[in-house]
Amino acid sequence: MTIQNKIKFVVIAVVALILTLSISIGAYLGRTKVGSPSELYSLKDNDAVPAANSSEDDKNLIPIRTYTRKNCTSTPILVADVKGFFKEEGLKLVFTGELKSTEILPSVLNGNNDFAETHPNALATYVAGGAPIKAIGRAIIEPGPEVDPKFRHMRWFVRADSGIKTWEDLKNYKKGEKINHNGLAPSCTTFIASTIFDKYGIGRDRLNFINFDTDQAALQALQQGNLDVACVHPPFYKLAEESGLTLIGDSSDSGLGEAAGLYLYYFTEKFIKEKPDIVHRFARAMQKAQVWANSNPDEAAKITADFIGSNGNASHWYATSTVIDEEQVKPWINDLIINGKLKEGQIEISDLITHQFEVR
Amino acid sequence: MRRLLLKIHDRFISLYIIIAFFVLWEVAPKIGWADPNFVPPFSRIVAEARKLTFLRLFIEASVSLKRIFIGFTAASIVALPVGFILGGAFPKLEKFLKALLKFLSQIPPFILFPVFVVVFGIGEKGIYTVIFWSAFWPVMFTTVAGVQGVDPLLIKSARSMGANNITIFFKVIIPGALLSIFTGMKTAMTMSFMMLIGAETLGADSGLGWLIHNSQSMGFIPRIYLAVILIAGIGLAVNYTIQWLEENIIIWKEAGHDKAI
Amino acid sequence: MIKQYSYSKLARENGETLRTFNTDAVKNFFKKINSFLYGSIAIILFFLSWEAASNYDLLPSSVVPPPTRVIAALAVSFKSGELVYHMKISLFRAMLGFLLAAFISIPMGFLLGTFFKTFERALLPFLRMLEKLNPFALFPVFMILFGIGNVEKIAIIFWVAQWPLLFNTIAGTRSIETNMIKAARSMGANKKVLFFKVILPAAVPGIFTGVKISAQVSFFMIIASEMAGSSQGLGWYYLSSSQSYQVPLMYGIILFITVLSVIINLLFTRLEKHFLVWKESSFQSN
Repeated sequence: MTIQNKIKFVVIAVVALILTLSISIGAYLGRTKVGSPSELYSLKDNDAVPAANSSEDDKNLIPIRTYTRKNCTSTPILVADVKGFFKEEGLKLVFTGELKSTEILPSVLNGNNDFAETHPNALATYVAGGAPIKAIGRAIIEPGPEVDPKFRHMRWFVRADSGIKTWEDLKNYKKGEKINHNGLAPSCTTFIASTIFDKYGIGRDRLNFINFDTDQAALQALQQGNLDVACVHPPFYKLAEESGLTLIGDSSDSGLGEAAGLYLYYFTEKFIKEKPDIVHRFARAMQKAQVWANSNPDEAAKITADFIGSNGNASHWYATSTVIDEEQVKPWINDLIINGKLKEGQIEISDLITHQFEVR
Repeated sequence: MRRLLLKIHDRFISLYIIIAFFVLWEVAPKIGWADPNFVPPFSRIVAEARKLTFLRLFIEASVSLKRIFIGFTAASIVALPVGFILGGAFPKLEKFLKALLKFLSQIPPFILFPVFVVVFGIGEKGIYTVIFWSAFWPVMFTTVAGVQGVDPLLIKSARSMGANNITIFFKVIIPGALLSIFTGMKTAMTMSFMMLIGAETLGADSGLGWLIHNSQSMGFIPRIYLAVILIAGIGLAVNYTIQWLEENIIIWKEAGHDKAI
Repeated sequence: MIKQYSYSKLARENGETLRTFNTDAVKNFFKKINSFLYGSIAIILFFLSWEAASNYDLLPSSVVPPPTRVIAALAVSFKSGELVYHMKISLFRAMLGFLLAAFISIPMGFLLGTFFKTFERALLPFLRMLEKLNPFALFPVFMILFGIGNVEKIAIIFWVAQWPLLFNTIAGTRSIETNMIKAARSMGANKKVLFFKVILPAAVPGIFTGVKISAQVSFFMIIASEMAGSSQGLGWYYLSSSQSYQVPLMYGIILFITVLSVIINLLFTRLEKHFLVWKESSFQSN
């Protein structure tokens, strides 16, 4: 090699080395953080760190893992961690990283995560498909009429210029055609929407469900005219209103009462068999957290917003006793049977839930 | 003077369009050709970049790059030997496995995500696996093709000059297959970058792909565009690097042989 | 070849009533079947070991069901017509996007490659930059611009399909030896003759390489794009089956999509090989 080539070679080698080093450092700093929200809290430069756990006692706490959630379902879990309810029960919450909805169940099945939550209809399809899981307690429920409507599970919006103001208006809207609605069956969105459509005489077969990754994408599609009706969850109520969309109803319109919001915690059967003690502690911690969240909704919302990093101010309403009322689960299952996703009698409620960990 | 200007003009001709594009991007939302809520002007994207701080962006980019490099390197480490063995040492085995391998390579990686999560778990392992899968097939197939494409005459003449198998391998086969291998690596890199966005949904909370998802679900639209541009830019840079490596290593490539752009 | 000719000629000359059998053709046919079977052994073995692993719980069977169950679920879906319905939709969208891209990009490629060289030099880096934009990341952009539904999907396919076609057409037109053009010109060919008799035929192999890549990319992308903002199509069908945790069906759809992908690959490779014929000879003379 000539001298020029040698110099070129050396320069390039040095540049490559520097690049590799800086990338490695950057990658190290940015690695997926696995830890409890309070730990992650302090990593987010948040000076309003509430009474967080000190790291010395943490050594004695048993870790309980779930995926990192950046949406409204995280509230009771965050509250339980930040307010020390998990600590009281000798548990430490560990967030293991974000996942897409289709990956949550696999991650619980192969042990990456200990628990997750889902609605009863999804749970039924999981169990019918052979997944060895069981629900152990309630998380979210639909609040009764005495509670502020902003806690209701879902709200339905339409464009202001569509002329629709109530559910009845939908009967004559786009007569003979399908109504474009967001959602992917089976989910809370599709179940409650179908129930409401049936109840108000519009008919569930007029529903054309289009899948979107997020509620926010659904709102965007609604604004651009690609959807006729969009159904969203609490963190997006404010966004929907600010976008000038018209509210035509919410999940209480389904007439299902508490069941309209039913969300259940589940563990694998293996976990339940081998570590029932931890499940008990988890259930107790969550019950306390849920009671607290219902009594202190603003602070709960703030904790959630701080963690998620948005200025959403919305929360769900939680069950103050984790007892699962089987009557509330039945409508979700029936909906699956109506849609042909399950056969009559294929699943018994006892296949889905266990009452042994309920906390009154 | 005129000649100098013409020369500069010549060099910059390719940049004109790019500059015009960015100018258009800046102007269009402002004069209403595009809805500024959904297509923010370029200046806002730059402002968003500054808000996120260069350091943060660098960290996210580094995480993504690390994942790609690890997946890609792992794929190469496995694919190259496999390709050499199948292409050269055991041609019968290659014929035997060819159909099966072609079949497996056609499975779209993003469809396999839930399977990967189940088998390999979430977090970095899952992501590496996706990148590995995307990069493995192009490299392996092009290595096999490269080895098979070496002129048998060259091998025969080397043997007649008394070269043993090892010498033939290093001095005849590798150089002969290198062109094909580099093409495969470029393709593998492209595929890896393509899959990065999807891969970083498997239990990550950092990285450029994660940034896109996160911005989408939070509604931070300028960030989406920012992350897209960054990924494209980095991908381009990596591709040029491989191209440069190829040009400097394969110095024996005949001029004008490769007329592809 | 000689054997065949002389055999049938002999037979005819001797007035034998031949069963019109081309022995060589038959031999070729059997050879093809042989290699086909040989290659399929590996695939069969793969499925057999999958079946065993699932049934004997080496892989948890609720998460990775055995192929028999998978194919059974797929058969049910096929019989009910759902599978074919979604397949038709996906293929329709992909084909339309691909054809649109072909009609626009191939002529564009010719123009840029032959007559507008400066223009091409200016555009090329920019186009390369556009090509490198990750199509997955562009999904939300397309949804914003084109809404959801067939138009948007076709637009996405058009976008991803045009790049291989464009660049390979340009490469194809550029790969012509200047000597040939000079020779044709010296024989008095005008631009029209030059284009149709020299440039076009020489570029065809390159074009069909682009066609092959483009077709594969189109199918790949239609599945990906149907996973958001969709209510039908194979991509959506896959998502729906995974959401309702119908695991055997989910794997069945994966298999089905893979098989379709393989078929497309085989078809277009055949097509490419067919047109590659005269490229080979000029390559060797290099």
